[in-house]
Amino acid sequence: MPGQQLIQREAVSELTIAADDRDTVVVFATVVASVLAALYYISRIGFDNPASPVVETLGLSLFLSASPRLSARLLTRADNDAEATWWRSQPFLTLAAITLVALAGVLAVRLGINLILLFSLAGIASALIVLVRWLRLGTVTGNVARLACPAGFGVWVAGVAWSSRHKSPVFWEALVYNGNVHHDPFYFVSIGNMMQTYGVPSTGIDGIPYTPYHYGAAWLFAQLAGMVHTDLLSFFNLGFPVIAIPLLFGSVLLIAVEWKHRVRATGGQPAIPFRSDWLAWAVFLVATIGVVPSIGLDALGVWIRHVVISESYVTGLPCFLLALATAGIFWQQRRNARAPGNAIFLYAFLPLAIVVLGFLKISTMVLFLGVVIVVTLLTGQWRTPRITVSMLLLLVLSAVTYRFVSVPGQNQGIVPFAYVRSSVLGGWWPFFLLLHFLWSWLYVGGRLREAGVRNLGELSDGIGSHRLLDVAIVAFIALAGLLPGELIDIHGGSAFYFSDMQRWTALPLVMACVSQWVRVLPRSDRKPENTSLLQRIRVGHVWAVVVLLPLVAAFAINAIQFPASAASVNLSLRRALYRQAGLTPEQSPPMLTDARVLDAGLRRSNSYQLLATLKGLRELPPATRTKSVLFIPQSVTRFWHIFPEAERCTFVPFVGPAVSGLALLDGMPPSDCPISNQYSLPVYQKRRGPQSESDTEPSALCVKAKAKGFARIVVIEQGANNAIGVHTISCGVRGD
Amino acid sequence: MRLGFSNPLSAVAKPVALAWFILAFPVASRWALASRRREKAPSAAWTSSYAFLSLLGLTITAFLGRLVPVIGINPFPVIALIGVVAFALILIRWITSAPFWRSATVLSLSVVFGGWAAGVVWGRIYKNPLFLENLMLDGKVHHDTLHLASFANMLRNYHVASTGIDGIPYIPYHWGTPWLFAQWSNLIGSRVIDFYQLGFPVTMIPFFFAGVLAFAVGFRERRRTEPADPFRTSLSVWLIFLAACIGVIPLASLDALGVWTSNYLISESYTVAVPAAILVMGVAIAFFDDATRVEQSARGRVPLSEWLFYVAFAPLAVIGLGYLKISLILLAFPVALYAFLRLRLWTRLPAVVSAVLLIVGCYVAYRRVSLPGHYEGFARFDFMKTYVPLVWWPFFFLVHLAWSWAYAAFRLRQANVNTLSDLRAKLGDRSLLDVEVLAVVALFGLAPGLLLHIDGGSAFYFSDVQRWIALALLLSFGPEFIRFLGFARDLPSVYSERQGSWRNVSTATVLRWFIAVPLLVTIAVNAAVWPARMVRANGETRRGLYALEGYQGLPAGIHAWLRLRDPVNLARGLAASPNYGVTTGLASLAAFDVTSRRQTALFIPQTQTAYWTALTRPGACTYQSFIAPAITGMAMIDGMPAYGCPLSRYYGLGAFHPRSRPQTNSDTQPAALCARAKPWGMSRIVVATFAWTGVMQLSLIKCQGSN
Repeated sequence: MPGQQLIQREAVSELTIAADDRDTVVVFATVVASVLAALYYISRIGFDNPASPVVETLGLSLFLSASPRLSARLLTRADNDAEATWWRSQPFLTLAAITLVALAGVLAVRLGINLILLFSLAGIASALIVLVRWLRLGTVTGNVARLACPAGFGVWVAGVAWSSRHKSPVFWEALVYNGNVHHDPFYFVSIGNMMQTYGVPSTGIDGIPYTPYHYGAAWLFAQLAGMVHTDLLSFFNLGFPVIAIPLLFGSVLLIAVEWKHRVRATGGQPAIPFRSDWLAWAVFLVATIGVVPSIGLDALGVWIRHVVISESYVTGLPCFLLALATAGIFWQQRRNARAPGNAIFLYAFLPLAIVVLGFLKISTMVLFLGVVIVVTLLTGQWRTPRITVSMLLLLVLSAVTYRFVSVPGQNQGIVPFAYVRSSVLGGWWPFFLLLHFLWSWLYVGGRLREAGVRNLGELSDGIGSHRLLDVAIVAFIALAGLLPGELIDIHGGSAFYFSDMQRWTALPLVMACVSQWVRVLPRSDRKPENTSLLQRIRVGHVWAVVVLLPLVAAFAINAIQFPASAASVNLSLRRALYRQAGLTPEQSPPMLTDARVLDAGLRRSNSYQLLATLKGLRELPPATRTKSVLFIPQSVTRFWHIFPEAERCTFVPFVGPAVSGLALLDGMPPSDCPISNQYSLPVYQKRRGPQSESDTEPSALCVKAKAKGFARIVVIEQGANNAIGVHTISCGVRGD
Repeated sequence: MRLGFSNPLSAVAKPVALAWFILAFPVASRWALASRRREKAPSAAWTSSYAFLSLLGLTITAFLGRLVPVIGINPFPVIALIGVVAFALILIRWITSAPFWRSATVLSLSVVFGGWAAGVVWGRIYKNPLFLENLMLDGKVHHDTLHLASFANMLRNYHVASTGIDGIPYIPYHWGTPWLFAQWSNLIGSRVIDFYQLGFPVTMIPFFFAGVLAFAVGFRERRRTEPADPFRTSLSVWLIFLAACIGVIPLASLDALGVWTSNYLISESYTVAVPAAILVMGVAIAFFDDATRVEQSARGRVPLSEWLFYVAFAPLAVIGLGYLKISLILLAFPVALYAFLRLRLWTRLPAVVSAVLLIVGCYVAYRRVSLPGHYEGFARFDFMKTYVPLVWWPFFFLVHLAWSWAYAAFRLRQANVNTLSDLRAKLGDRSLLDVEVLAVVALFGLAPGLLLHIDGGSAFYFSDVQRWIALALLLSFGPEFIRFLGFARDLPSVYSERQGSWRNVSTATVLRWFIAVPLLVTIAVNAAVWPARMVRANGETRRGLYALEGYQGLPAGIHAWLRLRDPVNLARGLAASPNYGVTTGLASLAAFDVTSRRQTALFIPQTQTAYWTALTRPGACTYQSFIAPAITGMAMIDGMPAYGCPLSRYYGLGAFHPRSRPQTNSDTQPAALCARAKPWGMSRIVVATFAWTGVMQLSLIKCQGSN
């Protein structure tokens, strides 16, 4: 048994496998976070590149990954799962760590008490402790190989996150150079900035009206950005990948480990340590990176990149998984119905989880609520009054939260099979159910086979007796996640964020089980030892190679293409800035990291002065900022044409609040610009005609500003030679 | 598809009768042979095999067609009568030999399949029931058909393999099908250009599938000691068949992996050559299986049939395949050599003689059919680079050869081959010769496309051959293969499991159907694509014709096909079409009697823009020349494309001299034209010009020495 050999060779005893597995998860997340942070820093060499935000962000990321592990170990005495009640479990402690960090962010932003050093040091120290312990159990070669895997994964994930125009270590520079960046981040950052500056979730395009949106992630990252002394737009490109991505994949792995050790029985066979469970890792890589070309996956609506690109999804999904795991542990260990922890779970944890999930990503709230209700119904717990009350509370809270976070424009009406029609390549729709939900079906199929379920009657009995409750939950998440997109036209393919959740629920469960499933597969009799080479090579293995080779090759292409693309984008920008600085390609050194040249290139960019001015407004004292609003007249073409594509005129206003941190006044796009019905733009009034001179008069502006609660207007002006200037209008409100 | 246009029933009935004759001939002959010998079953001799008789039927009709202009009597009524009667008898016997619903199911399936095949062959611009109408309307027809019809016409009228655009020099090309179609055109009395649109699909597409199925039946029977389940009752056989022919994944994705689902029915040479090759394999199998012959051979005698097979049939068949499709000779030759080596045939004198004949014959045939313009040198992975997106390259070998992989995996499992050692043992006792042959075809088929540049994706016609051989082999194992795929029973019995409570439905069944349903739905969707395209294209032609008549607000696509059928409007539309005069004028020349046509060349001056701009697709100038030979059946003089037109290096254009300057007035003088016609034995020249109204005007030049 290969796993067993590894156990012996690497001195990992069965008793410590659970602990080692949890350490493996931490080591994975640590390495991925470190690689992301390092790549971010490397990608910015030559640009403004202070090390402290990167290190502090990494420290926060490690705090979220490693400190729950150490806390759980301390609380449960050497990983005794029997003792690990839900509130002492690592999933819950991870959620607690996230909450703690968020509260620390509030302290830093609101009260100026910044504990970043403490959190960073704690995170780094925790990660180092776990890493050293983990390394001691392996051989040097084994450790190097196993560290290389997450490092490679980190490179891939960095490539995915930073090869799109959504996020980039040089996002700011790309914006300054030619505006060739995606507009989504400005929307997200605008909301975060408005919450940070004014305490109101709004995009701040024309004052700060409330904007329904699941802005939880924006709020969270605004607090963290405050902790690491950087602006949210920069932190969006750094903090989100370095913190949220390792948290997501770490959570997936943690669920796999928890499932394996808390629920799965090994059937008398020795458990394989997670670090040596190559099959589980193969499953993980196949599910994340993919073994068919990414365009093939796109054709089936299985979007590899979105899980890393959508900040709300990447933040909401691990919270969903961790909450689900916590709930699972609660249901599994709930021996004493009257234990005080039960009430806390039912009346505090679950309601809070529902609300938080709703604010992070609406799809996570809906599905979490669904799972809780389904489990309650299937297990008959609904007959228990305490649980019934809790469920009712959840329903009420969900409804209330939904009203706060649901964007009306996203719901474009009932359209049967909207997601399949819009996002699945023609001809592939018959395969949608099969392949989009592949991981769920794999788990369901594997579990049914394992449980010896032969017919639908036995399946029904298995679910009824709770023996196959996990199967029912996975199937429910798949089917419930399918419905929104197939009933309603959700704008921008966002139905994906419902239907894709099953992948991340099923994946860890498959990872937890796959080795055991393979071990019990029937095997043909072994040949005697003294056989020839031809007798030892089985035809089945040859076929496996024939089938696997293309998959491995496609995997390699998928793994390489995104990092290569990210590197290419970075180099292209540097080359462009070198050219702009007056250096020909022949004169440009291969590394393109000369800070003076890059800075000169940036300064010669059309938008440099404007954006630098807007960014400079962040230096205003907080008390002044909260009273101020930004006005950028339509005549400032440098701003209103900042995106190279004319059709993106509708998204230009977001740049102002995102970069300056101030809300705009009268900041709707020009009257001839087709306004999107998304991005919360309908909460503002569309221009009826071109902005007139009288609209830009101080008196007119002050009337508008006062109506929106502002006393001070910062006006951007574009003079002769396109020079950008700033002046302030004080509207004379008392207290100003 | 021709409702509303000139549409005589006899024009359709004749190819149908010919097709019935070709398809029924082997079965009827076997009955006749068996009844003559007063046996229940036909003889096992290779000459009595279905495969051989099928090829024989094809050959007989071709030679009868060739005799028509020689003897002046057309035996087609007899052929048609035999075809109709034989088919009727077979159909009646077939229907009455099983429960009616089973027969009705297969018949219905066949009708639907026929609709799909029609869609494939007529859903693109290569062939079309309204081919000439499209040429008249906007000139948007594919030049391939014109090129091939030119070839066939030259073979029919001048007995020379040429396109006849400037005299009739021999052009190396696999002109087997043009020759065949020319003879069949003689037989049914149609124009070659019409035979390509109607006769080819009606006769040869059924022949294609019949060849595959017949091989499957034959290969199945040779293994069995007791009668097998009829194909008609095996749903699995038909599902495999449909999956391979129509595709179980979306067409766009198949295209992306170089698995093209229409080309095998669009390329007439391929459509004829593949079943011919499969039937040749069937004959070879029958020959090697013939117990009587084996027994005689064991006694040291070389029976006459063995000599006939080795010295006559085998070399002629392989060479014949070369004339039908060059890819087939390049695959059949290595397969024949491989069989020679693996079966240790060098101990048999007839086989050695056959091998020598084969080598010499293939060399000569290759030189005669291989177009020098196609020699474009070494080009690594050319087919993949051109037709397979880079990200799909890793899957190319797996998917492109999927049916061969499937067969190999199945047979190895069936033969209990667990290790490479087992495989070596099985190869040693030659019990996997079918897999070996398939592997040879697959490997040699892949090689050209991976090593050379072959224009127009024609490397496909090498690499795709394995699909049909693998399919035929798999069909012969139908139910066993389905079991190998994990379906414990044949599909109909799986369905019966649903009887009783839902609780009894096995989870395995649910899983299988969960996987099978998308595949079945995709087959259905794929099957609908081509017919819909065909009907839509037909409707668009009708709409275009109506529009020329000034009609507004016309329905589009399929609605147009349903509603725009008024013969008067369509005829008016045609008359108003830009190429109406050119097309009808040239078509009237096809009525020339054959004898005078042989001595007559056609000349269309370059000033006749109505002709020289008739084709309108991008880059069409190089193909304009083919219109006249294809429609009139006459060779042209000085018919190369205009000076300055970029000439294709393919289509045999290299056999003619490109223009080095624009055509001058002196070039069009009778003396100059007669000088050009004389080397080809032509003493008369018809000069065709077109008035501004498009009406063709003819003038005749009689060269010195003509009558």
